[in-house]
Amino acid sequence: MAKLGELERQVMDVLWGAGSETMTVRTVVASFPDHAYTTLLTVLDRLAAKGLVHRTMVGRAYQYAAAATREDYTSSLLHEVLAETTDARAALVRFAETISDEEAAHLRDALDEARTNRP
Amino acid sequence: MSTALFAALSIVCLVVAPRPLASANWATRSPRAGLLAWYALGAAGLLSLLGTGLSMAFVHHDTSLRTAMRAFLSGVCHHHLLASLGVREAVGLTLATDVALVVLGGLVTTSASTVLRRRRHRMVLNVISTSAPGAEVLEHPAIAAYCLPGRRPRIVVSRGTIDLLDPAELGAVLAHERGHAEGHHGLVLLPFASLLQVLSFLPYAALAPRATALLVELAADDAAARTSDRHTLASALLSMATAGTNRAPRCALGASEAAVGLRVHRLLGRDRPSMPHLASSAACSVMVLLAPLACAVVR
Repeated sequence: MAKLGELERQVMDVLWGAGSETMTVRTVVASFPDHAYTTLLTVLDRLAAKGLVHRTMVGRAYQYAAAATREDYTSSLLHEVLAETTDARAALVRFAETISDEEAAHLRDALDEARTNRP
Repeated sequence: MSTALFAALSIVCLVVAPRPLASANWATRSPRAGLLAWYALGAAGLLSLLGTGLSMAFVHHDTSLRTAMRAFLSGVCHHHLLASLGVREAVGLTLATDVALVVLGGLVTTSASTVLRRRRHRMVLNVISTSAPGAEVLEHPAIAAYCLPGRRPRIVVSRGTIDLLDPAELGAVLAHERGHAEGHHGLVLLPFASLLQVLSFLPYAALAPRATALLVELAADDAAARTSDRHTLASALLSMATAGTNRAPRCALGASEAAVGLRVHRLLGRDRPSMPHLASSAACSVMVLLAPLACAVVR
């Protein structure tokens, strides 16, 4: 399972590397000389089932492409992390909120004071 | 008599007590004691609400809910269940079943949607994150560090955060996130999120999510302070709260500003966490939980 997961990640990298162009299993396999055709077919099917990859039939072969760019996925995760809705917040435990500059300056002074006073 | 006791107890737990608890100093000093108190209050309040309905339905004059329920159950066995169901009984029975269904239903739906959301998040994370010592990295300039709860919790930090903080500060932030993971804080907060979905008109359900979210942050700060320097964590907190492209709109700042201020002042070491708070909160919680049971045996 862990190996398949790692392979999924590498296949996504290859698809993202191809930009907006679609790839057949055969062109994907070219990037993975150590893996069998069927293994990569399985990985691509799994990624398609997860919605990470779009699959279209062109002629007699499937063409694969990443469903969204890596940047889009990153933004969507961070959007979820920084969202204010309790629904999204329940799913994660995030680190920090934002504060105003005045409050920050005030707290920074308190911190500096505590640091200089420390024995 | 027992109906009135149950009703009074549920009002105390779900309407009167939440506000003072949300602003209690002892809770922010000992966040685990505070969390325990929120749990006890909620459980006692909801049990009392259930008890109010049940005693309306089954208690007549001078019996206790316990004896009335026993009589009812023997009635069920002898198949004359709803023979003498009046208006009062019907209202009570409706209240009791509604409370039970709404609370359990809310818990199930919130758990399910949270699990799905986390699964989707984990699935995307699996293919886009790069690994670094102690965390996974999202290549993005935004400021974010978080823990994705689950059987194998994931600690994630953005490239923007790594660039912003010095190594000691980053270490403190990751220790804070490990505190969330080890304390199972995602699970701790889940019931409060689900109550907000179904009973938001109750002061308890409205106040508990934000109050408990703050308490788990404080608990994670305490966990981080065991391995990292408190002032370093405070400094990281301030840097992250003021930096970056994700500043919240001005109108939304109030409560979070108070939270960051509270955490920084706490990390500067004036209020150390204290064990007596946890012990006394545990004792009080047990007593609060015993109250609805006492109401069930009183006449």
